[in-house]
Amino acid sequence: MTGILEWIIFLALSLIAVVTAAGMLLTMSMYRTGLALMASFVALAGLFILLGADLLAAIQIMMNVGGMLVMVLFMVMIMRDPGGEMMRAMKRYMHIRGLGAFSMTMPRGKPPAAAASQEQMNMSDHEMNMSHMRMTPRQYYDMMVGMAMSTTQLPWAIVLGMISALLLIILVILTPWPLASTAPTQDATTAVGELLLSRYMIAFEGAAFLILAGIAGAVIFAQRDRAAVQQQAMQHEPATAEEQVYTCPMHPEVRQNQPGNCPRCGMSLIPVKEVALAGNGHEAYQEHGEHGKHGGHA
Amino acid sequence: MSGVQLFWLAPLLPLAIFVLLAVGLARYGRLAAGLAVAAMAGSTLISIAGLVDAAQGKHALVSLPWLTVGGRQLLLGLELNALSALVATLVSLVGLIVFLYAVSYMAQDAYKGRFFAQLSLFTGSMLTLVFAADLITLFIAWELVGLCSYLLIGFWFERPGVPMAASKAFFLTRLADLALLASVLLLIGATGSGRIDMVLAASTQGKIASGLLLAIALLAFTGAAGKSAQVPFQGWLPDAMLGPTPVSALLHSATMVAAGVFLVARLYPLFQAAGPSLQVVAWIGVLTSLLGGAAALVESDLKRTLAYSTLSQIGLMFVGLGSGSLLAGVLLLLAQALYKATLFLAAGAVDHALDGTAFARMGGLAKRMPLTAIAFALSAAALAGLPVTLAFPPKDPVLAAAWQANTALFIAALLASWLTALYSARAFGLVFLGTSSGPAQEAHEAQPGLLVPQLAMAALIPLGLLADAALLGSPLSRLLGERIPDVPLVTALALALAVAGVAAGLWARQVWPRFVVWPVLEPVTKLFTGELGFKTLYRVITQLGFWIIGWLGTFDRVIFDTLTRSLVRGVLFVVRACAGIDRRALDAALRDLGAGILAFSQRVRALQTGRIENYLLAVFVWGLGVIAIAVLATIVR
Amino acid sequence: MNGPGLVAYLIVGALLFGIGVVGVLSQRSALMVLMSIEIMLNAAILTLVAFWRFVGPGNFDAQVFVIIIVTIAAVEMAAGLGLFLLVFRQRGNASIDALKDLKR
Repeated sequence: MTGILEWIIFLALSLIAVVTAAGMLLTMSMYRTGLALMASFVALAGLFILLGADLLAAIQIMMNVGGMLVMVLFMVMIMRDPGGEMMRAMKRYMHIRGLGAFSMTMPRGKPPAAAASQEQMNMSDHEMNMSHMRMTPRQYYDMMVGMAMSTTQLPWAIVLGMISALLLIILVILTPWPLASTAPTQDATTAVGELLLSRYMIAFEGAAFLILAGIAGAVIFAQRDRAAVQQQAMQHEPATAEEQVYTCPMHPEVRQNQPGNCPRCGMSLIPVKEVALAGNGHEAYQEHGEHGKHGGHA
Repeated sequence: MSGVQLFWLAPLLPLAIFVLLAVGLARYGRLAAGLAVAAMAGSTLISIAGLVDAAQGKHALVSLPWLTVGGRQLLLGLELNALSALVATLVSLVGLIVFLYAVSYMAQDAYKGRFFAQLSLFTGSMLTLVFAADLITLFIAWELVGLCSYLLIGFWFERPGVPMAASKAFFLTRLADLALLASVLLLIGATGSGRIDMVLAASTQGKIASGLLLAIALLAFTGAAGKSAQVPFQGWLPDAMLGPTPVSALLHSATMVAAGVFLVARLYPLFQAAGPSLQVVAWIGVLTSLLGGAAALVESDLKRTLAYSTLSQIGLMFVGLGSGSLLAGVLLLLAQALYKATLFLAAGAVDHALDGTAFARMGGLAKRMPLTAIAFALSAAALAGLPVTLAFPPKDPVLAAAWQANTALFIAALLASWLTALYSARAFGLVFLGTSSGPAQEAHEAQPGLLVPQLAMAALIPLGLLADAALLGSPLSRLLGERIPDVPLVTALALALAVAGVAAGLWARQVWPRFVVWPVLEPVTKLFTGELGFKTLYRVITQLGFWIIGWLGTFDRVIFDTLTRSLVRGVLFVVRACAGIDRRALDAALRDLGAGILAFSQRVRALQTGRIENYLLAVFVWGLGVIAIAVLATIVR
Repeated sequence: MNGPGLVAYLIVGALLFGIGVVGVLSQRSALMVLMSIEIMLNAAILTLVAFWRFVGPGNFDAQVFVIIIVTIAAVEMAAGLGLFLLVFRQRGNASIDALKDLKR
């Protein structure tokens, strides 16, 4: 392959990889996020081929792209707004300026009191125009909180990302790498196969075990317990019965009528019915603080 | 079991009883009395045994080492010798009888336990004094005896005038004791030892400078004079009569007041070696004797009369000693102890019967209290100088010695003897003869408890007078190694004067039955009752003393108190300043430090947001930092 | 002219890494964080392969290493998604700024 061709392909693939990676963060649609990442990985696979690591390219596509497919499935299944339509509509409606998802950030500062003024909220004039929608600053605040896609650390994150990239680049440029002038000789697949089964046998087997553990763990994590879910659904209504007794999962002898913390171990108390029907341990460690669905995606 | 081995028990027994009673047994009155009497009986027996041994020429010494000062060792000890044994026997015998008397006399008193405790302390101290082998023991005992006198005189301290009388006795004797202390210290310093025999040896061998020796002798005599109520210390004895009669009988007639005489007798070689000291002794004695006699003549109280009589007789004892005759003084000491004690016991019986001792309450008691009257008569006769036994009257040796020493002295002593006869007859007449006054009409004979001791003591008088009877081979003369000069002229003169005096006294009593005070002496009475101006002198001195004390008090208050107050204020100021500094500066500093740390920690706490994104950021920043350092390192290299 | 050298590939890897950092630190959804981690991992893999190609092409240990990395990445992804699912079921959302129970 001649140099120029190589360069062109390299640049194209690199561009795709980087741009799609950035785009993953910028888009408001979760579905497109998954796709973007897939594209980035495919471009990377192409770079691997360019580097002569065909095996790795194949592995990259099979594993990562496959993984991303799974991820996309997740988005679609779970999210309320996987396509990001609602978010885009809200953005337009509320005249929010800014670049894609980066514009939907968590508002800074404390939630304003009911009768807060514009200055207190640090709202721009145009944001204040929302008043014609008959929204109080508090309501606006709450909406932004619900919709936000990035945290208040965004500026820091950008700065840090840029610095780290810059540092690495400088390092890379300045280091006198001991370049070898030879080209790969063997067929990678054969060589890797041999290595895996000879020198790196332990690593190979270890990886296998790791996969096994991962599968098992993931399955256990993700198990749904029907009864527990129903309990949870029921628990979403406030407990009206006076006999709502709270107890500690670790110390069932502790019973009191108020939610709070266990006097023995300090853990949060949970309603008695929940404990009785807890299947796996995880559902039992319930925290009844933060439900209520927030707007936007989770 | 002989006197030599046990003599030291004689003082110890009463002292032990005192300790027992002092720690709590005193509340059992009868038990206390019994114990005290038993102790005295024991002491008496031991003293007699000691006397027997001493008469055979045996000596003994019991001592404890005490201090080692400047290379010399001082010890405290008791010694058995002739003089000590004699006087000890006297003290314990008289003491025993008086104790028995006191059992009845104090029977109604609620505090008789205390009384007997104090009496026991007294007898123990007196015996210690008598047996003292060294000057320090002597002085300690001397002071203890003074203390007991104070306690016992002031026994009924709730009665008016009693505390004052006790204090007067104490102060006057204490003042004199300072002189005694000075002489003791000088002696110890001069001779290097406190032992009396060593001191006496040193003085006779001329190891002490004569000027010093004279000073020592005079100072010692001053102490003796105080204890024995000689001029100028005589003021306390009449007032001491406010104590219970047993006290007067024991302390202030027979024993304690004789301690001064005993001291001079004990240190006699020293006095003999000390130039004109004995002359001073004699003249002071005769002066006191005259003064006492005169005052006794105009007294209106029986016990006070007896008190003046006592100090007068002691004056005569000093005359005897001062005239160079140890024996004369000692003989008179023995005799006067016996008859004076009897007189006081009788006076006590009268006091019990009439509830008072003023002559005005008495009269014609011979019919009502016949046995008491006999005892009184016997002792008064001995006092007056009448020969009540086949032996010579006790005053004779003294007069004989005075005759040999100094004619003026002799005449004065003779005059004093005549006065003695006069007042003793007067006293007897006023109490027992004539018509009874109101209270006297209801008097009755003393109870057996009071009567028997009187009679016993009265019976001892002839015995005592026989002490040196030529018939018995003059035991005392042999004991003390002296001979009484036999001066018939003196004897005759004395006898004549005694008879004349008694007759005059009785006759005058008959002539003027109602008068207590002889009109002839009336203008002079005031002079005599004022003790020739001594009382005024005392008052002036006391005022001066109070004035000085007042001035010193003011000085103390103004200067020292102001000083103290300023010091205290200064200290308080410093303290407050420090507290202020502490509170404002240090506390404030600490508080600020604490507040600063708290504020700092609050701010640091803000790092713990609990949010994952913050922690992730922190991790990345750190990682980035590491990478940056690596980059820098690469660049630098 | 020669093709792109080691440095070019490394620069690409650095850029991808930077983007990954931005994503990890700024995204509100746990899923987005997971995906950003994936980006970072892949950037690392890229640099590894580049080194293999340009520094030691005869030594295939690097490729074994890459395989292991990819395996681990996959397992990590699976575990992460499982956790994400748990959290989501309990709370109804999985915003990481809501996961602040560590703070009193």
